Amino acid sequence: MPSKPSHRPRTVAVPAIAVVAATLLCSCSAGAGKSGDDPAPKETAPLTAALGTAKDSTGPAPAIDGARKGGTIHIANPTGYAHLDPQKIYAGETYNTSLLWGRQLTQYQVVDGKPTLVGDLATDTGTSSDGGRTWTYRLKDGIAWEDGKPVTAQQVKYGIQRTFAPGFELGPTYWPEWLTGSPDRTAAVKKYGGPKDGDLDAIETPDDKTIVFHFPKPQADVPYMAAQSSSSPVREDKDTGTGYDIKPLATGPYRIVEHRQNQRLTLERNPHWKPETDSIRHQYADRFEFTFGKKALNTSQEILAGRGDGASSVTTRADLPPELFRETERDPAKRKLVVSGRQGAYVNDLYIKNSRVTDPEVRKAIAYLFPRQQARQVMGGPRAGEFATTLSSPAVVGWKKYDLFPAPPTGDIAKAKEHLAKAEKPVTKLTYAYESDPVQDRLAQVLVDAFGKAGITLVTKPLDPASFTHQVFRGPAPYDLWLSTNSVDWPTPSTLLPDGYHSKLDALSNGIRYNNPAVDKELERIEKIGDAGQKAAALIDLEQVVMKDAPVVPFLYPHVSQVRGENIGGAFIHPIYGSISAAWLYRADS
Amino acid sequence: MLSYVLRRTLQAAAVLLAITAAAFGLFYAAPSDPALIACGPKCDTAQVEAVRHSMGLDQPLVAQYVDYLGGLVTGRTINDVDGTPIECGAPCLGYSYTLHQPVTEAIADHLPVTLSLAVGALAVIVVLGVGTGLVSALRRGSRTDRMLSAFTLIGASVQIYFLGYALQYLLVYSTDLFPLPGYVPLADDPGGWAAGLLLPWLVLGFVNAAVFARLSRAQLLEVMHEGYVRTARGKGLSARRAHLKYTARGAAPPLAQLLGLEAGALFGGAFITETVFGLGGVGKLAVDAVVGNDLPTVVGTVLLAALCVVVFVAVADLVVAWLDPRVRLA
Amino acid sequence: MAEVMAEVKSSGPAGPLVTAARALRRDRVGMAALGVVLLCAVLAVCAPLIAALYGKNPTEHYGQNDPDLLSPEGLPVRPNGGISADFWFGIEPGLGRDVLTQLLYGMRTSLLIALASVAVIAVIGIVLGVTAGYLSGITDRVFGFICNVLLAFPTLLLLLALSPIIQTRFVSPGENEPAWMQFAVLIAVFSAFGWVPLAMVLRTTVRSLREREFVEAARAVGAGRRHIIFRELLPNVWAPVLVHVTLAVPGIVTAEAALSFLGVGINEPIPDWGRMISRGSEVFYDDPTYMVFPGVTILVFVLAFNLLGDAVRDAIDPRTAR
Repeated sequence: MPSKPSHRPRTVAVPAIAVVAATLLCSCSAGAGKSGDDPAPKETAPLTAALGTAKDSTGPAPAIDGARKGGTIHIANPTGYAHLDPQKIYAGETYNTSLLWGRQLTQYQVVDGKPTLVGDLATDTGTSSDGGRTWTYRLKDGIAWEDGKPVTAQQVKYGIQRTFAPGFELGPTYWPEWLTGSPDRTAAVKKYGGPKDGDLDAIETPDDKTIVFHFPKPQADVPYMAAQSSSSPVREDKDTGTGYDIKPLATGPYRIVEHRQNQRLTLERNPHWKPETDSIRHQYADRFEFTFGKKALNTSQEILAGRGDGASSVTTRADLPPELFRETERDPAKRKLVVSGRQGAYVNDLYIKNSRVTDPEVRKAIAYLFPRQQARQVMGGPRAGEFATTLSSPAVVGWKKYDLFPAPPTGDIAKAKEHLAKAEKPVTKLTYAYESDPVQDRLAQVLVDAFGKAGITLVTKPLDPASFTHQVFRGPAPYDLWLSTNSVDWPTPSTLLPDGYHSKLDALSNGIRYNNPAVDKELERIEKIGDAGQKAAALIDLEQVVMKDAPVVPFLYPHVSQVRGENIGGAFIHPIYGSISAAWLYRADS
Repeated sequence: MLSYVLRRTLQAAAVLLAITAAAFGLFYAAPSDPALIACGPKCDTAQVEAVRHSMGLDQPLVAQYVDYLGGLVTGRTINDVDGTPIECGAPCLGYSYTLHQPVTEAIADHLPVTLSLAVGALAVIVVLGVGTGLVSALRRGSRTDRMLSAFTLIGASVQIYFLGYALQYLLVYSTDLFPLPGYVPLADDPGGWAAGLLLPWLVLGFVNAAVFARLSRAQLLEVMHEGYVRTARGKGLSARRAHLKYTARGAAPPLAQLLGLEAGALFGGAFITETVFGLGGVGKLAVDAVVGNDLPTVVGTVLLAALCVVVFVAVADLVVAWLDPRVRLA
Repeated sequence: MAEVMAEVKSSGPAGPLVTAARALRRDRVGMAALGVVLLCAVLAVCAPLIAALYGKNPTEHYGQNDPDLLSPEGLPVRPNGGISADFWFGIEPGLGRDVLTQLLYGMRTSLLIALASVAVIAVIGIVLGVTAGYLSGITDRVFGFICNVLLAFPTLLLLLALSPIIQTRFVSPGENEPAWMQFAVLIAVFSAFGWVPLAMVLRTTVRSLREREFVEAARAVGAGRRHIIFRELLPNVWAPVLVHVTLAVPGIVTAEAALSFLGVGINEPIPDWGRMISRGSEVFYDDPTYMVFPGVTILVFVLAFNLLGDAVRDAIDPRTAR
């Protein structure tokens, strides 16, 4: 700021500056060196969630070696939870954390990092009949709400009915679509509009313990959908709208004592939760104290250095900031506090809008020129993830490795030019849209560079994160390329192609406007398969057919690294939800 | 005096009203659609329209502004995205659909950090600024004066985003001389509160003290050469008493005005300092709101910042009027 | 200095200007500051030439195409930010661009925005300030009120909020936002708020001048308003304008850097100091050297301008130099 006019003498300040500069320069930075150590595991074995048996579903959960009871665990996250209403939750980390207080029909039991889907409220993962059109669940005995009242089948039904109601667009849309046999939620809610329309006939509750789903079409993935937060029970007498969104009633090992949005969330033991009913969760710590709003860098530093509450804290919503990558690699004491793992079944792709870039040769050229290595370098290097070549993640049931456009990680400009030469109309300009932030700004420059080498001017459009989805998927959406992470809703191939690559889907689901009649037909055939195994196999085979059109360019199987305090035990990245799972944590020092 | 106070208060109120209108018009004219953002990416056109209606965004701008002003005074009821009514008590600054809470509440949540930062920084500014100015003025032309002047000159030229990071690197990261910056509520742990804010106070204080030091030195020099101080000394008052009694009183008005301006700016949120040190105050709330297109919060924080400036400047003017009766006649 | 003086002599009242220039020449610190400022200007103007001689450009991703320069994590392989005979100031972490040319071109960005804004501010400030001061009455009251409103606005926050709004309003989605548009937006917002202090100073100056003999005399002989404003008042306000303008340049440079630091401002790939600082803040634990260059450059630049501003003021009004 300009100094205010004032009278003062002027002295030669230059020496002082020289001193400042010299001091700073002497805090010389060591170079990164040329170590080729790759912290990301290169070829992880496929990690898929098997279906567990009724025995697996019986509590208590397998004990963790060395776990102790007692103490308070602090969870310091940069942002708070906008929604805790179980039917509004739709994000991996919130799913993961809400396991502390919420229970669903099924859930993933994780032992030594391996997930198994087991019955949670239900005695098993469900039994199907009628070729997958009918699914039956029985609730376990002895499951109660935090006020001691029993959990009933009618409450599970009520919870699922809520997913049809206005205001619940945020959650997954599978229940409304499947239960009414509709192609999308908009069509589904015309048939049934939520609890205000009375009872939903498609769900039957013959008694307090039994719940039967009747689907117009065969559904193979009901056990997985039953694990989503949407499949949590809700008590009608406690359903207070906004209030319930802030402080839902607990069925899990902890109950919410206090929740100030964007400030703090405090949990204490739920006395009515019985370990013998739950084969997934633990109840080691006495309390969980969440605080929100502190910058990830500061939190991570406190945790790594054990300052303040750092030693007994974890972050579940923030990744290890790039600022600390080197430090945690140099210092073994800090390195062991970093918890890394693959981010669920996510894949990061460069999306190409097929309705704008219609020529497959151009899309193939993009697949060859895409500079994976340089792009990952500006994102912090190998820690960001493994290079991807497939549409679905190795975490998905039945995943097969393939690479239809083999190129070195730095891209193959010559090969790209070959394909561009084959294009019907020469392409000289493409637009790339992205959510503006410093890392993405730099990534855009990497792409500009690579496209430029192949003779394409890449127009970059930084969009503000809040409106990115609207600008890229709705209305005219005049963009050719964008980077995005696709996440299947559960680790089977069932939600990837059918929910993203059928030409009849809307622009939000099939954002790239992929349109291949042969694929449409095959998808319609697969939809009718009621057997989960056959369905998965057919979809995995179809994946390579789709990839021959080069509709997207797979970039990374992303990894996450988070930090835990010295005194926190049981921290691992949840193989499905992709963040540290609070329901397994304990205080190692208590 | 009373009429002056009245006049000054009215003036401040008028300025504030104009600012609410300007801020409101400016941000609600922005191209991003608050209904779209509030509704979330999954809404279709009909849902967005419903949300727009429930948010009252389909009303004419003037009607929305009147509602807004009314809410400021008496509070009002705002509809959530799904039509659930939310009570927003006075002074209601609207409801943030991004944070899912009334803006007033969000600001109140972040205010303690900003207040803590501002109070400490102001203390540093006054002590460092006036102290340096006083010493420099008393020893005009000496080595000390020149040293201090160089010091303040650097303060006036160095940037918080550079100094803040450099000091964090040198004093916290490399040497552990200072505790990690951060905020702990004063009531929870007074020691931790002061420790976590120490570096931000010093940096923010140092950078802003420079202007203060230069002004106080100049003012003191000017007053010291004015007739009445010399007369007082001639009448046999000791140098120190002459300074204290007359110089301070004579030099105070411009300093008070500058202090008012500084305080107004600091209490409204120190955006860069909070970003540099990762403090979650009103400044961070504001920057996040701008980045996230959270218009109600942007307008709310703009108004708070403006209110702080207007109030503190008005208070400073009143203090000056009280110190110096000549001002009142102007 | 000789040509400066010659130019000064040929325009306007020579007397006080010559005195001021002489006073400035005697001021060693002021001259040194002027030297630094001129050096900055020369470096900015000649940036392409220097870059050509040095053999680098500010946009090429040197480090990304050479694994000997950047590690897979994007940090310089060599110590001290990758300083070497090839890259005198090191390379940027991540994209691996050359720091020296980034700084030089960043100076162009800063200076261009600052000088253009200052020019607009000077014009608006003079017109409004002199008008308000001369007309007084209701015009003056309205002017005072507008100034108060603008001064109470949290400028930085407003700049932060306004820049994206203006950008999305005017750029078609299929095009890169042209560089001139980014500059124009910043210049517009800086000007919109920057004129107030200057105009307020000028109002006071003109108000006191209005009552002085020579204006009274002009009025007495029947000179029109236009004549009085342009012939009698304007020539007498150049001193505060000059001082204000010199001190406004570093203010705008740092405000622009602050905007870029907070994430709005000039976009990639146009080099920008604030964005360099912001990048430096992301890696300052691993590569503190990178932040030193833009940080110290801004410090020296601002210091030089502040010293020059003080020197100009002292030269124009020797009474203030104590």
